[in-house]
Amino acid sequence: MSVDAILERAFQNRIFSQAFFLVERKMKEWLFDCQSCGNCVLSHTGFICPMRCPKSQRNGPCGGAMDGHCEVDISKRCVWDEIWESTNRLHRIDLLTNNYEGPPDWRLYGTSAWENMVAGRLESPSIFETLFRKDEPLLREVPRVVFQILRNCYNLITGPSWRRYEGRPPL
Amino acid sequence: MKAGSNLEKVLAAGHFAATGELGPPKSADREVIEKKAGYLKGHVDAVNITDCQTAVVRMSSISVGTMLLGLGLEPTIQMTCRDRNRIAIQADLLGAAALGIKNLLCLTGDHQKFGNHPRAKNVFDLDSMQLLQMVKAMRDEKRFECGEEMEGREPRFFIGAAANPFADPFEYRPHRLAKKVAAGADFIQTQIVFNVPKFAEFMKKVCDLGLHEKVYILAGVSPIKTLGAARYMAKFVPGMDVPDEMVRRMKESPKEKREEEGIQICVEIIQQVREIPGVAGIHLMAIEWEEAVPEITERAGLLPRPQV
Repeated sequence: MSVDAILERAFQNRIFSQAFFLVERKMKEWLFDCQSCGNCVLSHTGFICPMRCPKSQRNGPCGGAMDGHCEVDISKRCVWDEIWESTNRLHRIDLLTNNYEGPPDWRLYGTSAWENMVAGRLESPSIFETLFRKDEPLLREVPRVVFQILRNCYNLITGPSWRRYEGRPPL
Repeated sequence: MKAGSNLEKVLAAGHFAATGELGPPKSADREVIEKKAGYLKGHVDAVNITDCQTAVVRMSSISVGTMLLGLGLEPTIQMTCRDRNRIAIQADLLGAAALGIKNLLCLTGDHQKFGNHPRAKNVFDLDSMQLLQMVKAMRDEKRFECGEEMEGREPRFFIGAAANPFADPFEYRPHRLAKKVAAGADFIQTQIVFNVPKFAEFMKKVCDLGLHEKVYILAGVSPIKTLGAARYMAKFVPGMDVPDEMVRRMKESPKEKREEEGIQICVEIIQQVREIPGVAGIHLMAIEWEEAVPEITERAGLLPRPQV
């Protein structure tokens, strides 16, 4: 039995599914300031959640960033500026230039992206396919990715919080 | 021919295109449209009609586009994702196509924070990239966003997109343009160019990616009317790059000659961007100063407009 099949069966259990989502949501909130859109693209965007963008831009920055700051709230960094920096550090700008993110499925808002992925509700490929470069040994890639996540997380904690932003779209 | 609009024909024939812009009034005055259209007629190939620019309520883009058709001008309607979800966008575009509108510029739209209704709820169901893809699929595959096939005539638009060569992250901008081309853009209108060297640098990268062969790029230009406007754009308009040199030129010219100086700067920029490889035309945004358009196009050597 494959991992996917096991997970798929496990998610059918309501208690497991709820508990899993609770853990997933809290973890992603702490690490990525996740908005629980249920259509996760974190593995394409250098582990910065693009749904933090006041315009919910999933395919790149709007034309308004000034000196790397968001036009809507100048005290914050443009999410896409952060994404550009993070993907550069991971040497994966191909994820930004080649990928097209389709319109999100808003029915999935507030649900577990992992469960959606296992259940085949998302078109995005598996996290492992996009996350790690094929030409690099996994052992070298894993620490790099973990280090970058922690680095982004540090920026998140030390920077001004998007959560207090008065004009944030009510997702 | 994708839509067979005048703008498309001018560009396909290899002419240097010129498009204008018309800001609809914040009222129901038809006379304002007629007056502004008078300044633009015969001086540009197509006229953009903004869709509640800077999130300020104005007459709707499609309705003004229909009026322009009646006045003998070719409209390019703008569609933003701020106010409509995918259902409303598709419905409006079907109507626009049926009314005879052939050019469409796809935008994400300014955030409502900048407008006169900052307490409004935005939509942003799609972003500009997804909008482009949706419109292209409606045209080329006769398919709605949901995948359902369209029975009957499909809306055929010459699809445009915006690009800002100056906003951060600068290195990402050509790649983003490439994505827009892949998503379905037939022509591009850029943010207003004041910093020509930076724009040339951007265009070089665009040409390196081979995009100038796949899409028509129109450089945005605009005359500056007052010193205050120059200063305001330099400091407060997001994503705008106004070099100090421009502000200084406006400041040093005597007060009564400032409008003249603003037009002079605009004409110079048009002549400079025309020399940059890959630039297929200009997009003249004389916002709330449409009466300057005849003079600018005349002096920049853009007249008479080609008849195709």
